[in-house]
Amino acid sequence: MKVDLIDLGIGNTRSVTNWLTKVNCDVNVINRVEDINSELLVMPGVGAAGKFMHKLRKTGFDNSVRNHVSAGGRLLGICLGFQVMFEYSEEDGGVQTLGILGGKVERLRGVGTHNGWEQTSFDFRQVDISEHWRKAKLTRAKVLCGRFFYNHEYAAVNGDRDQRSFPISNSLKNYSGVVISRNVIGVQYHPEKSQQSGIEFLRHIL
Amino acid sequence: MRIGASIIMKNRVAVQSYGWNLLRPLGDLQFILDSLDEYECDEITVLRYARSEDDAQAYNADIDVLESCNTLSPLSFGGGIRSLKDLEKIRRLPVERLVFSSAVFEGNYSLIEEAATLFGHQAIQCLIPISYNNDKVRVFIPSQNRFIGVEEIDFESLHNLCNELIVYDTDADGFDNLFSFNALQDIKFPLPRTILMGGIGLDVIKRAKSEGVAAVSIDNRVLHKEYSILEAKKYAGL
Repeated sequence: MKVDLIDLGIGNTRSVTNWLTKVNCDVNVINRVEDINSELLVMPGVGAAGKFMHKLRKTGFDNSVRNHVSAGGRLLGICLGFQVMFEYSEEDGGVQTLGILGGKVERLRGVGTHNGWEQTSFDFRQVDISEHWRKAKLTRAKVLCGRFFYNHEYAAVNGDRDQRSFPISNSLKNYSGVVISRNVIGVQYHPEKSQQSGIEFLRHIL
Repeated sequence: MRIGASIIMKNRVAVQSYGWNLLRPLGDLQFILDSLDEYECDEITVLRYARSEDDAQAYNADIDVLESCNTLSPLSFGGGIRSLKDLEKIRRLPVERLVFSSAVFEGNYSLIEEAATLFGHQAIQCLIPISYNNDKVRVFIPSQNRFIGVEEIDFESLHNLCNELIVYDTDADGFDNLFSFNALQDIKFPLPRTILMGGIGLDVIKRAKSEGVAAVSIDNRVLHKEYSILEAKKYAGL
């Protein structure tokens, strides 16, 4: 399976590349919009939302990513790449983000930072994603149980009832750990650094 | 509480460190990362042995080794990150978090702020190597190869600069259950954002959990089965 992986020159894409190749994805790391050539786009992200959005706009990826999704292409966002899918982020004094998903990103209230692992269970019988995902049929299992690694200070608050949002944990239940909206999946955690659970996640969605 | 592992790296290979000065070769870094993946280690911290004799050539050689590594566990890297050029090289590595030590003590805050812009504030960890004797905490400055009093450390700046602080007990380094909890009284940093390193054993892990620290980082003894991460988690009720 071919995958285009967006590299904006912020943070690194090495871990995500390693992770995708574990399930034999043919990963094309791209830093120009004209190199988008796959039906599945992966947008990882670390850093600060302001600089990340600046880079997206400067390179033209902001419109290209929106157009890719509008045309039915799949998009997987990870961590900051997930947060910028929403409409607005409080980070860096307030930043307008892509608006692909309804909702906003705010500083984690109370805890300030969230570094660690959360045990998570997804029942894909309750959330049917087969119209857009699970095309490669890498697993017959319908339930994903595992632990996933989080490292963030800002988090997303879902603002659209048509989007399926799964909370980070019981103690952070107001914040989205995963959001699914048709051909778009976003995860706050780092599946590429979630050991075997990260691999299982890929097998369930690809 | 997270249970991680720390690996010291010198001259392209992993080494085991005792008491902050005796080093014993441990072997290939990838082999160790593979083992820790298997043990479900919560995070791995790779620290270069970067004392005053460190130079760009040694830094680049270690970076090359790390670049070729592949792990599915969260990875922190530190030791000798002293310039924007060094930061740029880290972009090639499969690491999420950066560990700063000398840059903190030398007041090179702009470097740490640039790292926060590139990798996110959540990615910034600062490390203070300490020695606790006669009820006094001293802090080791790697680039100058000397200790200073803990009162010289600007904890307020640290609080803003980094997401988490690693407190490395150098006297307890490589030994079992010798981490000096008393030293934490002089380290003005919130325990829920503090990571303990050096002298971590099962009893220390249990106490760290009850004190509410963010994480402990066991030295490379976790490679021996009897000290495995899973057993430590079980013992501490995690």
